[in-house]
This record gives sequence, structure tokens and C-alpha cells, in this order.
Amino acid sequence: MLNRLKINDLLKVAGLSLAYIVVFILLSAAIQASQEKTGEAKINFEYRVF
Amino acid sequence: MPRLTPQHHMAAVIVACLVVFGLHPQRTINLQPMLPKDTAAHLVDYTPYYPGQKELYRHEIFAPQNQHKKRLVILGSSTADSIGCDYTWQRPDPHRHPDRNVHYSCSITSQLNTILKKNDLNEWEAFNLACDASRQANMLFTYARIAELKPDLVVFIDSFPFAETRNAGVTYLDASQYAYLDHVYSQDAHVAAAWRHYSAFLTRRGEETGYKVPIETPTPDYKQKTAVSSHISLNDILVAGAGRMRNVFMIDARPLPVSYNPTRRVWSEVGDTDQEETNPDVGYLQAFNIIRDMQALHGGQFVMVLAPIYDQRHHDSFLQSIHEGRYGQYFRDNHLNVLDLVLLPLEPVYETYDGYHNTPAGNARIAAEIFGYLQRQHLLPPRSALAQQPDTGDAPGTPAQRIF
Repeated sequence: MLNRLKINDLLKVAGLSLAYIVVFILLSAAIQASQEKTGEAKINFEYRVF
Repeated sequence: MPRLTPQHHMAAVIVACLVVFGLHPQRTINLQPMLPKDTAAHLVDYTPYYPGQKELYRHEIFAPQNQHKKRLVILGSSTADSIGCDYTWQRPDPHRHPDRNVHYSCSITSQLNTILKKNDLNEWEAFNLACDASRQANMLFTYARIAELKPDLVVFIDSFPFAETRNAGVTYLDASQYAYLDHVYSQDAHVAAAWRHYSAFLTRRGEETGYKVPIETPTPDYKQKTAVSSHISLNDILVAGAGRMRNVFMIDARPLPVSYNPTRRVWSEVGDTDQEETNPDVGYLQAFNIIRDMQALHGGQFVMVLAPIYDQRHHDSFLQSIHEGRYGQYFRDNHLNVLDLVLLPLEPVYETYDGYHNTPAGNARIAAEIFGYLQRQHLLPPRSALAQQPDTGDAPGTPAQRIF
């Protein structure tokens, strides 16, 4: 009974971890895109001389 | 549905944090071997503005969607760049937001694209590679970077002789960029001879003017930064994807209404008599031979445009020098294709806000003149029979003249 509980818990944590990993990766990419203003190169003029 | 407790979530968050922020698999795992070779080119955030000399690969001329276009490239300084919609380009207005009314749609390039489309020349696209304050040297560098794309037509617009001043702007380049110029322009014997002559001229003039040619590094790197990458991570793809979504969902802000300022300057045609700025050594014109000869290697064309200059319209000695004088003589002797628009009578304030730089209305007239000239020269195909809309090249004014 004890072993079964542990395996179930591990599976749940592993599944949840995967979901959180996906969320964190997407979030960090979105933050990076926002900080680097990716996608705004055409929309916003930025002065770059030489 | 399995029953999940807060302890399960807490443990999962800890594991996920360790993986994502500790191991960084989203950055370290290289996906390039599993992807098509040109994937990196699709991940670049391309711009219609000049992206800087070290970031030129980000210009939209390199974008994969423009790969099969016939390319009309505009080179030059601010007169050619012409992204300023009104005087606030040079004199920002703190009472407006943004304080500079700058937008690619105001430029000569954008107006040319409008005319190309109205004439159903959809396979053609004009690209703005001009940049504020540019001179010949850094434009030669810009051209060297795009030469591999074999542009069909290069138009260098100069508020003559701005591009020739400050020893052609050699100090805008660092030593490795100058070495890159040397490398690119030495690959064909004919061009190499022209480049060697011009480079020696710049070196000599550097001593005389104080604007010295940067000294070559002992181990010059002939590669400039490109979109090609041997490492593409999941993060790169997601960041590019987020950028693409922003591009789709964000509204491309239009320029502010054009602001007219009649007191910007005194509109009296006195002519600019500064000898250093108006009367450079004729040897600087060799730079245009280099671009012309490079273009000829792949069957491309080169046209030089003398931009409208309000102050020089009635400056007889200036006009004489570019028509019959030593500059004109050089153009003729070297068979340079020159379109003279100096006398194009742009209306002060409404079409030109300072005598050199123009409002969208002025840029539209210049674009129409250039387009008409290129068609008359058979450098652009004739207007398609399918085109139903009227040509925009009907702006009133002095017709463009081919002076040579």
C-alpha cells in the first residue's frame, strides 16, 4: 500500500512537473521577447546610426 | 481525474524550476540538425529601417519572403533615407508623442513601392538601405553586404556633394569593416583596380583632411554577422514566434499628421558658398564607378540621383559644375547614369521642410520622377497592361532631366 502510494505520488509530481516546465519555458520566452522588443522592428522605429 | 494536493504542486514547481532555470534545456539543446538549413533566416526580426552596420542582416532585404523579388535598392544619406515625415525628424517636438514623426511609409522608398504596385510591377520591391548622415565609404560597406543578393537596380541619392564630404566618411568604419570592404571589392580584377585607386585616394585625402582611413587589423575577419546559425534552441523558436504574434496582433502605428513649420528657416535662394562642403575633390566620384562596376558583374544597373536642393537652385557655379564643369565632365567621361533633380521645384514648407529633407508629398514627387526616369531608361519594365489604376507620377513640376 505504501509503495503504491509513493509511485502514484511520483507519477503525479512528474506529470505536474512537465506541465510547469512547459509553462515556465513559454513564460520565459515571452518575457525575453518583450524585453528585446522582438516583433516590433517594423512597428517601432529605433534610431540606429552606423 | 487524479486527486492533486498542494504538496504535489509544490514538489512539481521545485522540479520544474530546477530543470528550466538550472539546466536550461530550452537554450542548450541544439535543434538545428533536425531543422531545415534556412530555419535561422526565418527567426530573424526583420526591419524596413537601417538596422546598423553590424546588424545589416536584419534588414528586410534579407528576409526569406523577399528572396525572389527583383530588388531596387536605395542608398544614400538622410535625403535618401527620408523616413522623417516632417521637421521633427531633426528637431524633436517634446509636446508630441512620439517626439519624432518618423515612419518608413513617409520615405522615397515607400512611395516608390506604392508606384510599383500601382503599375502592377509586383515582382519588384524597393528597399531602403540609406542611412542618416551616411557618406560614400559606409554606403560602399552597406553595398558590399548586400552585393551577394545581386540587386537588379541600385539608386544612390546624394544631396551632392554631401556623400563626398569628411573624406567620404571613412571614419564611420572600423578597421575590420574597412578590411571587409577591401576583401569584397578585390574579388574581381576590374573592380579591384577601381577600388585600389579609390582606396589610395582616400588614404591620401585622409592625411590632408584629418579623416583618416582606419588601419587594418593584423588578422582581419572578413565575415560579417549573418542570420546563419549552427545552434538553434527551442527558446530561439519561441521568442521568434512570440515576435511574429506581436507583429500580427499589434497595430502598425501610422505616422503622425505632418506638422508644418514656416519659421523653420528663411526661404531665400542664396546658394551655399561653403567651398569645402560644395566643392570636393572630383576623385571622390570614383566611389560610384565601383558600385556601377560591381553591379555590372551580375547584369545589374546603377543610377546616381542628384537630389533637389533648395539653396542650390539658383547657385550658378554649383549648377555649372555638375552640368558642364568638372563634375559633369567626370560623369560624362565615366558614362555614369545620372538623374539630375537639383532643380525640381519642391514647394517650401509643404513639400520640403528645410530645403534638403522633404515631407511625404515631396518624397512622392521625387519617387515619381525616379520611377519615370527608370522606365524611360528601360531599367524598369513598362507599365503592365493589367494595371488599372492611374500612375502617381503625375506630380506637377519641372520634368526630370537626364543630363548625360
